[in-house]
Amino acid sequence: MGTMEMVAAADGREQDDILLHIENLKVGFQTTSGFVRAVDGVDLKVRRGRTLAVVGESGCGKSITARSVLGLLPEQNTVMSGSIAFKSRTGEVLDIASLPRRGKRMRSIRGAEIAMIFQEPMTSLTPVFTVGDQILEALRLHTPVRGAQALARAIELLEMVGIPEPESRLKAYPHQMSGGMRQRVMIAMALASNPSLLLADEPTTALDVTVQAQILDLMRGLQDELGMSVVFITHDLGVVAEMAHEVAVIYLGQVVEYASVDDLFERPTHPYTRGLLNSLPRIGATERLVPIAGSVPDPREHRVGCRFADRCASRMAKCDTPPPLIKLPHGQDVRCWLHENEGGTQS
Amino acid sequence: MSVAQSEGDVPQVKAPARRNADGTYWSQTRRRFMRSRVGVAGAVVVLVLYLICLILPEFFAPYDPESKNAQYFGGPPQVVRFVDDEGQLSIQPFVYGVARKIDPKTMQRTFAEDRSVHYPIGFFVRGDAYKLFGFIPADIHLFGSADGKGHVNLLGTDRIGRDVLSRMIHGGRLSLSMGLIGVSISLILGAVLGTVAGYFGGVTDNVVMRATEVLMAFPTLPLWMTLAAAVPPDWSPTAVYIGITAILALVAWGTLAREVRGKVLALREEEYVLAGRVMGASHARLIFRHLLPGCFSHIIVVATLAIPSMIIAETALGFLGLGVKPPMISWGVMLNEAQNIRSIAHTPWLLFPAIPVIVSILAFNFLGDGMRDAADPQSEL
Amino acid sequence: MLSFIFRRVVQMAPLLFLISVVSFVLINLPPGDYLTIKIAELEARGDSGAQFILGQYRERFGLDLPIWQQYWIWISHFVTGDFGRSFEYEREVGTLIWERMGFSVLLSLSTMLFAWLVAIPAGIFAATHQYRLGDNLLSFVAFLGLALPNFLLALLLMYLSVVVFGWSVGGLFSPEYLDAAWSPAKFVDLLKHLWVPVVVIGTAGTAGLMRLMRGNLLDVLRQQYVTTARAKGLPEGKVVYKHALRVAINPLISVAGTMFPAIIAGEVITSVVLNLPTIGPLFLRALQVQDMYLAGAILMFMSLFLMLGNLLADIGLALADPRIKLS
Repeated sequence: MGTMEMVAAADGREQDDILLHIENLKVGFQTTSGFVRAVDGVDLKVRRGRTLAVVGESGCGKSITARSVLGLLPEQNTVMSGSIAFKSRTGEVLDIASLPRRGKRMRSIRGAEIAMIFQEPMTSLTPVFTVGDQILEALRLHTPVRGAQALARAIELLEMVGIPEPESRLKAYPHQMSGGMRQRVMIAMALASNPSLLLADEPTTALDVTVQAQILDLMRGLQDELGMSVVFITHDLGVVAEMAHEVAVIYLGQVVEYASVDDLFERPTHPYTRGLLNSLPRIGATERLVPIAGSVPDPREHRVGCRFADRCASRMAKCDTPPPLIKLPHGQDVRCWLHENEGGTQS
Repeated sequence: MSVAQSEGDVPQVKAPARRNADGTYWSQTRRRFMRSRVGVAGAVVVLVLYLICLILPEFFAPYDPESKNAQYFGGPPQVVRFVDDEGQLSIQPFVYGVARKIDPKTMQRTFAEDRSVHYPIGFFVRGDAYKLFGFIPADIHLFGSADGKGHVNLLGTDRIGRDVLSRMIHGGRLSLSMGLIGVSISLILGAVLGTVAGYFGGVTDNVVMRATEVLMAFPTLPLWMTLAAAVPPDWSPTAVYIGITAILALVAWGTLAREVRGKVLALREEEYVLAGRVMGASHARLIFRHLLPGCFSHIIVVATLAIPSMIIAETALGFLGLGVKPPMISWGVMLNEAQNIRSIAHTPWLLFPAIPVIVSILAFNFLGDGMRDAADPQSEL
Repeated sequence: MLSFIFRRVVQMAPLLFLISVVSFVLINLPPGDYLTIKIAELEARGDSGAQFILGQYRERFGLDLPIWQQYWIWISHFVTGDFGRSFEYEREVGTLIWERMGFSVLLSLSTMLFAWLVAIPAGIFAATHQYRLGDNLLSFVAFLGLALPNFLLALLLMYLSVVVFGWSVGGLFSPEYLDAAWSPAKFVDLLKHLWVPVVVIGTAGTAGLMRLMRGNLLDVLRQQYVTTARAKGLPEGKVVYKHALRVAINPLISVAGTMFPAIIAGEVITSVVLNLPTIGPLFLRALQVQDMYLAGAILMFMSLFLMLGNLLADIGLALADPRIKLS
């Protein structure tokens, strides 16, 4: 897709193709030390069968965005606005953001159509129930299989995620397994009802590098096999390169750049993205790594203008007004005044 | 517990008397404490109680605890009035006189107000003589009968006509001081033994820990009772006081020692202690300069929270007749007289000493909670 | 499992020995001995057999021997179920304790049951309604409950029931059932009286347990696996009652063991106030008159009861929590 016309022509097709569309999502928390704008107007599109990576430093709001999709944010002291449109299996398009969080409809999506896995495999499973109990519970919730059939399905799921001797592992308690194994169990549990979307919140961050690679391989394989969409949240650009089709870079609760994975690594456009890439070591490269100056500011501070301005080397006067997300002709979106004149539409 | 060093600080081997931009650890702690409203309220109540009962009970109590109102024994509390029967308002509060009546059938004695007599209540009046702080002769009381003719028994009188309020204030001297002294003793025992056990480990640790285990294998109150029963009946009141206080401390130090030991075990592995050891500091120096200051705030909090249980223990023992005994006065001793249904039914005002017991326990708990939150904001102990 | 219990019991042995030594020393601590008083009393009564009875006591307990030999005689009899003889009651200690043991155990177990039945739901409610009115109210009541010494609570309840409501709450039976044979009516009468001491003894424990339940559940509700359970699509009730509660309740099982001392202490003092036919008043009386074998045996029994409670709590915890290894 090189030109704007093509984008416009593709729009209709693309609409059919979009599974999840987050628009202008805002989440804030009232804390004892002030109001925190954790997510401040995030827009994301997830297409069928594709992987969207959401990248950002810790505290930028990427996990919160994922959690709000499943209505998993704390109920007290939380303010949320915006829309989360999800195309359900029945073909109906739901606004998840407006569903009652504890309601039946919400629950029929959780685990059934959208599943989620988390960063800490060591604490993601209830310690007092066996692995089998927890997988069977998921099966009972969302599928009609029962009894011996359910057991067979649970074993099949464990096989699918590459757990050896699945029959005996069903009777194991979480604490008897390694972190990598537990993450596999989490994935098996998430896949129990063939969800159309998997939210993976830094699923490999807490694992050893070798185990990380195995889990990533597994997830890629499963995605090809099952054709589900994945939202992959990470702070690791290496993982992004390996997993993603599209990438959204988030800084302080806002998407600052949105691009296909190839575009992002070839033509990083936002100063923050460029900074992230410059701080990565490369094999064979001899130049020094350049860290991004300064540190992530306190999200409680309310700032006008570009949020990255204070750390940006190309800061200019205009940065005091908040930049819009600018669509660049070659299909990239960027939130930066530097590219004001290159862009076509502003959103 | 790790505290980020402010930028440019030279890492130094020092116990956590940490200083950074916001002031020292202690001033931060104090500021956090002042923010806790219940904690401050607890502190105020505790201070007021100690001022009234421990420092100036003779002044605050209208009577000597032993002086008897021969006209009014087992008498109910008198009501303070500002308006008399004729509807006349008087600025000065007063109480009516009392008239004794005897039911001819049951021979039951009752008291009624004698509305013809007014006894005005005055402040800073002369009354029973006493020695302030034990050596300054004085006879001024905060309040009392203004003309010295009548009696003012706001909380009633006991079986033999002694003023319940006065006895309650004097009783607090014992009840409150025993808690404080008892905790101090067990604090010293517990802190020293706990530190030594945690620091040296090995055999020392084993011996101390087994000792606390044996101590804790007994249910506390029965153990207190057994020990208190062993106090010889012919001891002088002072000796009994010291004996019972020591008993309270003896049973309580175990828990404290375990707490301190746990803290020391954790701190022993902290870098500043290791550094001290590497630099060849002596055991005593490491313990007193590095380890104890590290758990000081923790110890203080645990001790504050232990005071209420000491007060309860003293009161319970006195109540059972196993602790201090008359003629000494404590809240427990006073409650001992309200032990059976008969006295509760006929003279319920003998239960008044329960109020300062509950108030002081609550105050110490609030104070301790506030201090804990201030000293260690993360802990949810 | 059996080997786990066996090992725990073996570990207890040295502690038991130390406890028995301490108990024996404690009861021998008071100066003067009861026998001298007893002689005087018997002689005053003109009882010619006084010296003979005394001789029997001396021989049986080796009262003329050095203290460590006395201890040996005492403890070697103790383990065979011979707890000595009460000077005061002139009866065997075993029978005296046995008569009252039933009510003490009944009272303790009822209190435990009461504490759990009230504290668990209250704690769950408080945790799931954190910082709302109900939670604050419960926290306040719990704070009061913890602060109120139970003999004061007993006195206040007695005052309320006698003076305000005109009931009699002392004892465990109404006068007409006191000597009656067991019947359904007597049982109902027992229940009518039992609630007062149960509430009195149980209040502090209930309050503590409730705060613990609330704290644990709040901790667990913040855990990742609770979010996992929610993300699975489980209804909130199942998330709380199945996943969170199962984990949060485990520490309470071990607390059940530590509740015993408080219950024993509460039982002693409350029974004195309410005049209950339990071990408590017997113990107090024995201490007051220095009836040493009786007091010693009761103190030993209370400690044994305590250790048994801890053992049971450990076993319960091992059964409930798969993470605790039995080996």
